[in-house]
This record gives sequence, C-alpha cells and structure tokens, in this order.
Amino acid sequence: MTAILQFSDVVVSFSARSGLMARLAGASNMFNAVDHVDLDIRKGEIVGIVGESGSGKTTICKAALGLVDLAGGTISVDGKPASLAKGELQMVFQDPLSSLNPRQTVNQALATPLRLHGRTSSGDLAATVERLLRDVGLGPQFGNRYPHELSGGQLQRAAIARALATNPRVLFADEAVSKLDVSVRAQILNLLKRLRDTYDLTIVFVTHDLHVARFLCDRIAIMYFGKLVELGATRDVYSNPRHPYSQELLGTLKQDSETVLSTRDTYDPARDDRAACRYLNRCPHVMDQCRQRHPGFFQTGPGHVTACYLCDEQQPGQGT
Amino acid sequence: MTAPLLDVKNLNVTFVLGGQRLEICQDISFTLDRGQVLGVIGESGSGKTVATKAILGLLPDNAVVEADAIMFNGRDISRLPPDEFDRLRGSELAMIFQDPVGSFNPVKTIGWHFRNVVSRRRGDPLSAEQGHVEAMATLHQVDIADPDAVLRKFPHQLSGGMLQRCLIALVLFCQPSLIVADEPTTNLDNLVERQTIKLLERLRSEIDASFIFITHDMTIAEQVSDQVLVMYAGQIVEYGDTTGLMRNPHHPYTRGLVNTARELEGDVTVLTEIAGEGATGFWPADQCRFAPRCPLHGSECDMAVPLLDAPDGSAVRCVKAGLTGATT
Repeated sequence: MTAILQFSDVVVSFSARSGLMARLAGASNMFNAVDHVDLDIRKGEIVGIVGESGSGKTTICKAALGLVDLAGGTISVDGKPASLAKGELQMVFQDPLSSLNPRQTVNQALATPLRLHGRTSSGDLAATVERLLRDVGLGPQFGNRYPHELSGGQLQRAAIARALATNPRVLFADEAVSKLDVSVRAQILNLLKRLRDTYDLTIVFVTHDLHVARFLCDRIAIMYFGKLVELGATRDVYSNPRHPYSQELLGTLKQDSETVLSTRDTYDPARDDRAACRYLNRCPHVMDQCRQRHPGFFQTGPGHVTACYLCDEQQPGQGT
Repeated sequence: MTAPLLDVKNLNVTFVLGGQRLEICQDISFTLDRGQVLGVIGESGSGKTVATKAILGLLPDNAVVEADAIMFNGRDISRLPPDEFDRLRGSELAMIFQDPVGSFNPVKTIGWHFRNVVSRRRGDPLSAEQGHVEAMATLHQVDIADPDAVLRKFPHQLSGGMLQRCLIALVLFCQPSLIVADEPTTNLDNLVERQTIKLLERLRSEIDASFIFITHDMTIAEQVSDQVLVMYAGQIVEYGDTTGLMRNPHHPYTRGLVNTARELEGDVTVLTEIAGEGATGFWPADQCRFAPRCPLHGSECDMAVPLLDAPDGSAVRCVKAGLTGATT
C-alpha cells in the first residue's frame, strides 16, 4: 500500500522558557516537541496517534497543516510538499463550538472553504452545502442555524462537514469526540467510519482515549514526549505492546491492573540528556545504552516497529 | 441500622432567568451511607452537577432550591442559615472540582492555599512550621514524592494531574465526612486518570468519608462506586447497586450507556447508537422525557412517568422496563 502522507524526520521545536528575561538574554532554550518522527500514513486507513498530554500528538498534526513551523524534516502528500497540498488536508478540532464562527450560519461556514478553494461554481454552492450536511447526518434545516443553536453533537457534525467541503484526502481529527456526551460519541465515531468509505478518506485520529482508538483505528502510533515509540496494527499493538511505555499505557485498560504509575520522573528537557531515550526515568528495564542514544526502530512483527533496545534481536542476553 | 450520612428527599432546583422559570432538577431523592461511594452519571445538562451543588449550597442566587429535607449527619441542612452552613462547608462537606487549574489562585503558591485552608478551618492559625509539616504529610498521602518543592510552586508550574492531587490533598486536609468529586478526571489523560482513580480508591479505604462521584463515564462509575444514580433531563432515571445496574440495566437510556461502554471495551465494528441528543430546557409534562430518543417509545409513555421499583431493588423511571427483560 502506498503512503499518502509522509512524515520524514520531522522536528518541531518550541522555546522551553518563554519568560522575558530569557528572551532578553537571547537564550535559545529550545526543546523538540516533535523529535525526529518518521511516519507513513497509508491511503484509506485510520491511524490513531495516542499518548499523554505533552506527547506531541496534536503538534504533529498541526505541523502537517502548516499551523506550526517545522524545525527540520519534511512532510509530503503524495510526494509533494504538504504546504502545496491546499485543501487536501483538513482538521476537525476538539471543541466544535469554538472552532466555528459564532456569527456565521452553518451554511456560511460550509460555503466559505468551497469558495476559497474554488472547488464549486457558485450555482452549485447551495446544492453542495446541502449534500455535505446530508452526508454528516444533518437535515437542510440546520443550514440556517448559528452555532449556539446547535447541540454538541450537531456542532461536531457541522465541523466535520466543513472539513469535508474541500474534498480533502486526509482528515485530522484532534480529540474530536472527547468533549461529546457518551451517548453522542458513538454516533460521531460511527459517522467517521462511514465517511472514510464514502469519501475515500484517510483519517489521522488523535486521542488519549484508548478504547476509542481501538474501536476506530486500523493502526496505532504511540508517542511519548515527542518521540514515536511504537507503531503497528491496532490489534497487534493492543494484544502485544512491545515498548515498556506502551505496556504501561495499555496496562491501564485492564480493570484489575495493579500497575502503579510513577507520578514523577517524566522527561524534562531542561534536565535530561536529549540524546538519550526519553522514557528512561520511568523505565523498569533501563540499560546503559538507553542513556547514550535514543534507540531507532526495531522490527517487532509484520508492520510493527518499536523504538526500544529491548526489541533489538541482535542484542544477546536481552529478552523482553 | 444507623441512619445514612446523607438523605436527600425530593430535591427540586429551579433557575429563574429573566422572568422564566427553568426547572433543572426534579424529585431527586437518594441516600448515602457512611463510607459508601455513589456514582452520579448523566450527560451535560442532565442536572447532575446542579443537584450536588444544591446539596452543598453552592448555587447562585437565582437558583431556587426546594427539598422536603436534606438530612446530613442527622441534621436538616436544607434550612440552615448561611453562616452556619458556611461552617459546615469545607470542614464537613467538600468538593473536588473538574478543573484543577481553575480551583487555585494563579498568583499564590500551593503552600499559601494550604495555610489559608488551615487558618480558615481551624479557627486559630497554626504556627507556620506546624502547618507546613501537616501539609507535607497530606501531600505524601496523595503520592506526591517531593511535597516540600510542590508547596513552594505556583499552580502553573504543576501538571494537571499534580494539581488535581494537590486539590484532593487540600480536601483531605479538612477531613470532611462527605466529598463530592465532580468529574475529577475528565480533563486528565488516560494514565493520569488511572492514577487519580487509583488514588481515590485507596483513600476511600484509608479515610472515613463518603463520596459522591460525578462522571459521564460508565466504566469509571462501575469501578469506583457502590451505587449508581443515572440522571437524564433533570430526573433520576435509574438508581441501584452498581453491580446489578451494570449487569442488568432496566432503563433504555442506561442500557444504551452500558452497551456503548461494553462495546468499546470489546471488539465491534459498529457501535450501537442512542439516537438523538439530550434536549435541555423544556419538557412536556405529559410525556416521558426520554421518549423522543427511546427505541421502546409507545403510547404508554405519554404520561409523567414516576420512579418505579424494580424487583432487584433498584428504582427505574420507565413504564416499559418490566416488559423489556427485567428479571423477576
């Protein structure tokens, strides 16, 4: 299967200290919120990016959409730079109310991207808007309403319709169901699955809800403080997580799990060696080489890769 | 048998907005025994937060709270004068809010918050050292490894999970007998949520307090609570023991929630949906409030449905519950 979206060696960095004194001193205390990430998204799949807050999962999506600048690496859509792929990448945000203009009706919100990207002649505009609404399960009567007149689920449907307006090839959904009520969540999750087929979409779904990710996603990418630590088919990763962090994270799914998670010792860019594995402070299996260099990917199954020295089969005497 | 710690009888909450009366909670009755945890489930706008805030007297002035009685520790707190209630709140009744960041004063250190709580609750201010020592001990209790450093930090220097721990510690510090936790893990990510739930589970056995745990997540309610109260559109739709309710939910709404939770834990390709969305505001008096979304809706539902007793001891607001698989 060919990759539709390619992240190669992507780096996004932010200033760790944004204080005035630091800026005056010209201190360049940058840290990489996304650190040398390679990830291929295949056409037609739903990839889940999971990780805790601060793992860089939202940032990597924003980088693809050009909402944050790259400090290194490239992102390409079908071989051409993502910055040239206008309208082919779209995003659905976590909070639908704040992502829609409160003074625009749903019709206007949907018509704007159509006009800007010149995808539809003005005569077809109304018909296209109506079709988009229908596709996300909203009747035409919703078109004349303002965002405050819609419920959370209806708003998220409208936001999805707007994202679909330019007929994108890749849809990024950033925690798109986490603000919705549980009874509505199922509706939106089913809708996303359906749209993948009808719109021939590829979806990158960012979430920290492991149940939702397992339901929706074909493949799972697990991130830890800017590093991609494991990538594989959802079933493989959930049934046999190889990275110690993945094991810790997915261990929380077990009702009776006695995993006591450490409350400290997370990665701190100001203190820790940036070349080292970022998980080493929490890792029960830490070895000397972990302190020296962050491991690259080791093949841990068909289409399953893990960034951990434990998975290096050339390494004698180190089992998992 | 001793009297329950909390016994709420027919609580009604109405908001007056520009001359309009908005009925938010209707006929809320439940009891909570000492050391027990009650899970309150419902979607946004179902009245779960309003009902508990009404019990703690935390609603704004335009809220009209009416109840036959709210018995707490053998005393009706629904008619207490404000200054007496004020003494109770914080020392006996406490609340953990959803948003830990908003619960702290951003320009004061964590230590300042602890000192404030001590002097307010104990009347006579403790000596600085004594307060510090006690605060450290409480922070230890919530698994904060380096309490000394945390006490000197400002809220923005701590992560959401750490702040939530500090907030829990502040509440523990007052040794209340009733703690209301309003979606304490909603804003936290999975790992931290798990830690916080574990912490609350452990504290429950260590301290002598009852909890009301508000959540919209069935899985969490199942894990932490002894009893579950499901709210929909301002009413209790189902109320019973957690195990029984999860195994055999009677109300179609509860069944939908349990199904979704079970499906997400299992392996399905399409989730069962509850059609429509929770309407807020006005309901016809002569129809079940869930009827517009209910798969079982029939002409029998065109009435104000009362809470009915199910054979297994739970209470269910559905006239069709008996027909739909309830055990005898």
